[in-house]
Amino acid sequence: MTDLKEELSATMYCILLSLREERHGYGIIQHVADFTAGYVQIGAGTIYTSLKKLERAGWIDRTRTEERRHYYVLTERGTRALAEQTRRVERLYAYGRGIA
Amino acid sequence: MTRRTAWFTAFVHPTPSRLENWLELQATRGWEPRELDDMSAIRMHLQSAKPAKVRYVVDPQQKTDASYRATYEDAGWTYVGELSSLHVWRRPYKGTRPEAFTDRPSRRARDVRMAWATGIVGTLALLGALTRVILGVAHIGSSAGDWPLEAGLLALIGVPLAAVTVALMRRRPPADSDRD
Repeated sequence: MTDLKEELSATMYCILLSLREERHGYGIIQHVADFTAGYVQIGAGTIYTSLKKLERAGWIDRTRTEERRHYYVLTERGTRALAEQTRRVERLYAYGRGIA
Repeated sequence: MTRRTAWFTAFVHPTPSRLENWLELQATRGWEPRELDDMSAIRMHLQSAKPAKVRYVVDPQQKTDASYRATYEDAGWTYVGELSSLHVWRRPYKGTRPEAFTDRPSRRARDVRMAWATGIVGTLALLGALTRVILGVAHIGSSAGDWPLEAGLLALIGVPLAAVTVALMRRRPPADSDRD
């Protein structure tokens, strides 16, 4: 299991948010575009490589495969990483509030 | 003319984005590859087609699973084929040029995957050239006199590939529209 050492990108963060429920690659693309109102767009190449990376890091698990589509969901480790990242974003938001 | 052949395309356009740009230019001129195989890196057959705005994506992937194609196809891409571990996808479009790699880390990872491929082939070619020089100078082998030509040809392949590998490893992919 390899750990993700770099700071999470907006894309990775949104993928983790989306995988609080079981979804497949394209399902995540649609869900992220939906809940960010199109602000974060994820391409097919990006989602495929990101899911492989998150799976290798043990942050997500493959739950099943249906019609060539792998379904994934957050693991406990991924949930902890998401919570940590959310706290980081909240702190940054608090520092920047009032400027924008 | 309904068919033409392009030679050494993958060598003349050795990075994913350059190969994509070249394929897109061919599409606007009414030429498209219908199928690709390992030989297409050297000899690519193009078929006549209606000139169109088509986005091509070149994705270097050594190993893919079933979900790879499903993910791209769900997102509206059509598989063209694979040439030497470079998977090629196409998607006609109007308006904004669609992207398959939408953030900087995944674009960087794609460059690194490509660099591995060019690095391995380039290193093998340079090692081959070096071996041929050593064997030629030592007069080992039956066609010892041919070594300058053979070593030169191998170096001609190896040097540009080594240069591309270094450039890919040092490149910072453009941020484009990503917000990371």
